[in-house]
Amino acid sequence: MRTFLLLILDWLRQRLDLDYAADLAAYQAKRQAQQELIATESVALKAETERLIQLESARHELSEQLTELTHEIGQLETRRKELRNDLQTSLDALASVDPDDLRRQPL
Amino acid sequence: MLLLVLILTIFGGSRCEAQMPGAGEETAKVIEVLSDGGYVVEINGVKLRAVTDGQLREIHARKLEFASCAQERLLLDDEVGKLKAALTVAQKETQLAEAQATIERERAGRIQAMFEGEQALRLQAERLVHRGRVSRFFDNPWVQVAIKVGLPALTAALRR
Repeated sequence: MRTFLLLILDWLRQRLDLDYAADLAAYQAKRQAQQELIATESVALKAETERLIQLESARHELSEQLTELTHEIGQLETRRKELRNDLQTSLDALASVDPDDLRRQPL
Repeated sequence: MLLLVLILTIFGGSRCEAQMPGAGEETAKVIEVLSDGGYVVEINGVKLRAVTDGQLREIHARKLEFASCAQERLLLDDEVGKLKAALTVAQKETQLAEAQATIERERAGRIQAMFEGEQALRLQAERLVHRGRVSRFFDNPWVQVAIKVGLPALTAALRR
C-alpha cells in the first residue's frame, strides 16, 4: 500500500515537475546503459576468471617442476661435495701409504 | 731413496756407469741428475726416468684428482643441464605471471569503471531526489512526518 501511494506521488511529481521528468528519463537511460555494461562486463570477467584459473594452474605446475629441479640440483651439489670429500680422504690415505707399497702400485 | 718408474724420456750423454751385481750382462747407469731431484738412468740400454718418493706420491695424488675431476665434470654437466631447464621453467613462469598481472590490471580497470559508473548514477539519483519545488515540498518536516508516520498509519488503518 505504501509503495502504491509512493508510486502515485512519483507519478504526480513527474506530471507537475517537467524538469524532474526529463532528468528521471535521462537517469533511467543511463541506468539502462550501465546495466547493459555490467551484463557485458560480467561475461568478460567470467571468461577472464577462467583464464586466470588456467594461468594459475599452469604456474602451479611450473612451480612444482622448478621445485623438483631445484631439489635435483641440490642432490647433485651434495654428490659433488661427497666426491670432494672422498678425494680428500683418498689423498689423506695416500699420504700414509708406505713408499714401498706405493712403488708397486701401477701408474 | 730412488725408485725406477717407466716414464719414457730420451736424454743424451752419460755421467756414470755401474755393473749390476750378480747379473753378468745387465748394466745400470745414471745418465743425468735432474734439478727436481730425479734421475735419468739407463738399464740394459733402456733409458728410464727415476723419481723420488715425493714425486711418486705426487703422481698418485694427481691421478686421484684426475679421476675425481672426471666424475665431477659429469656431475657438473648434469647440473648445468638441470640449471638450464630450471631457467627455462622460471622464464615460462615469469611470462605467465606477467600475463596474469596484465589480466588483473585490465580487470581492475574495468571494475573501477563500473564502480565509478555506479557511483555517478547514485549521485545523479540523489540529485534527482533532492531538487526542485516538489523536492522542497517533500523535504518539508511536516510532509516527512506525514510520509513516515501518516502513511504507515493510513496503511494499517486501511488493512483493518
